[in-house]
Amino acid sequence: MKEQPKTLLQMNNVTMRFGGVVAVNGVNINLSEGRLAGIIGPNGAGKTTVFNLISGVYDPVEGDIRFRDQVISGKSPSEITHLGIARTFQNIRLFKGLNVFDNVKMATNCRTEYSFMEGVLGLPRVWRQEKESAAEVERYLELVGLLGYENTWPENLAYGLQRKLELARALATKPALLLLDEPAAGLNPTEIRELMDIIRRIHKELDMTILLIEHHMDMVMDICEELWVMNFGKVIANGDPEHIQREPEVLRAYLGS
Amino acid sequence: MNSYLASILIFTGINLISVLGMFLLMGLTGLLSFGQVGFMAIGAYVTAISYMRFGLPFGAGLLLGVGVSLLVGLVIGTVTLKLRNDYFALATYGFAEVIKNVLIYFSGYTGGSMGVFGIPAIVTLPMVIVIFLAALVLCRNFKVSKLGRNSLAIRNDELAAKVMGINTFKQKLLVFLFSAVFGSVAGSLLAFSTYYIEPNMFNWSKSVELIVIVFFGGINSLTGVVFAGMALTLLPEILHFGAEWRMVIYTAIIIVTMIYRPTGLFGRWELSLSQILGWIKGRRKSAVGRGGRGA
Repeated sequence: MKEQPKTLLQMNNVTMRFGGVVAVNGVNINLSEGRLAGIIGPNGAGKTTVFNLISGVYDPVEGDIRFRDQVISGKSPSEITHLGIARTFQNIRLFKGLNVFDNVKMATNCRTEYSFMEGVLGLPRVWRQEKESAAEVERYLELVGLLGYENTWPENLAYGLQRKLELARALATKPALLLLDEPAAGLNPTEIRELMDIIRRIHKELDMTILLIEHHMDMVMDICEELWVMNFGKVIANGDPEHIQREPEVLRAYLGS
Repeated sequence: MNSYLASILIFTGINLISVLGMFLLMGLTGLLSFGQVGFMAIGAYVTAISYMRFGLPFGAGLLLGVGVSLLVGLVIGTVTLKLRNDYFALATYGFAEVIKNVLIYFSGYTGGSMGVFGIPAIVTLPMVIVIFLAALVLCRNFKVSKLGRNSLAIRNDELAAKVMGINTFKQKLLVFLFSAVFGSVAGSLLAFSTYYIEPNMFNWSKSVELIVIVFFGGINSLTGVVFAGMALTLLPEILHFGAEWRMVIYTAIIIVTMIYRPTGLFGRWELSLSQILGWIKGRRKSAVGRGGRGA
């Protein structure tokens, strides 16, 4: 008998308002462990706000968000990252003062244990952990195809590579849940195919649950196992891609008829 | 060594120690602080008063100064580091001014605006060099460990840094305290190398001087900051610039740097130990080659 998949992330009736604007309105999302799922919807539907709520950038006005049955709404972004949720940004936000290698390495910092004093004194434990982190960084760079770019500054990378670097950086926090905010935005068709392969590899090999926001319908329909469709801050449909494509509400939202 | 030269070098070394603190705070973490001079004043006065009045040895007084600076820094940092960076800069300016006025007001202990006189010149050049090198090693360790990466991440994009798991407030507070220690130690050394201290030595323009040095040397280069610190402290001394011209030169340097080299003279370039060793090796090799053992 197949085991029932456990719920990893749960949003219960979550509402977010900015002044008079209701960006997210009573959203319920139940994401099972091990899924590769997506959120789609027209511009301004509230998708990125949902990500900002999950990652703790905003606190919801109403409702709560649970991760592994623990309430995470109200916690700070760094605490939420420590619990095992990582994300990328729609508008790439790499650290310009750090090279490619250190951009990824800084994300392993949340798992290194040495203290401030140990760090400035340069005790042996520091070097041991730095070495371990460095080996990990190489693995993630290899996974996204950025080996050989270690000493490059992020602003000198091609756009597609910057997206990959953001992905590697998010992976380096070793999350259980990975949130990708429009990972394919601005990529050409070849790069999108590459990205899809990478996402599938992450999902399978690193055993991560992935939730992504995307506008490229071909990609979403191809790789996602489950979809939520949002419009005007509400979830208007939920199900597998084939089911979603036939949903009249969804067609209305997209075609405007 | 001639004592004039020694005193200039002592002064430069002391300046470099507080510059290093400023480098961690402003260069790596992106926190513009005018408060560094406040911690120098605390270090100087605590050490001087505890020595002159209570007979505490210099070393113990220096540590006491560090302790007081940490306590004050903890209070100031906790209150101000949640502010946006520009308000933080203003608040630290206020802090330094308050310290100065406290020193003038409590004249029973501090001698008011007359200052404290007759402090023995205990500080020697070797002592300053050793402390400076120790400070340099700490800074280097800071920069190459996760602490440096966290700081640079915060400077570049605080929100992204938070989302990548950094407790930004804690990191900023630790750096603020750490740089306060540098300032305090520099202040203690200064007091015991100049005979007397008075509140006006700890004007806001002293903080500006530190800021200019970091900015000029390169906000992400320890090498550059040490170089700039030496150049900008030694040159005016050697060329005998008056205090008023010094400020003119500093502001000119800021403007020129901002226009032609916004990342500072050295940018992100660092001189590393392996590079130096490489040069030495390369020299030796070519020397051996010239000696006729090649081919």
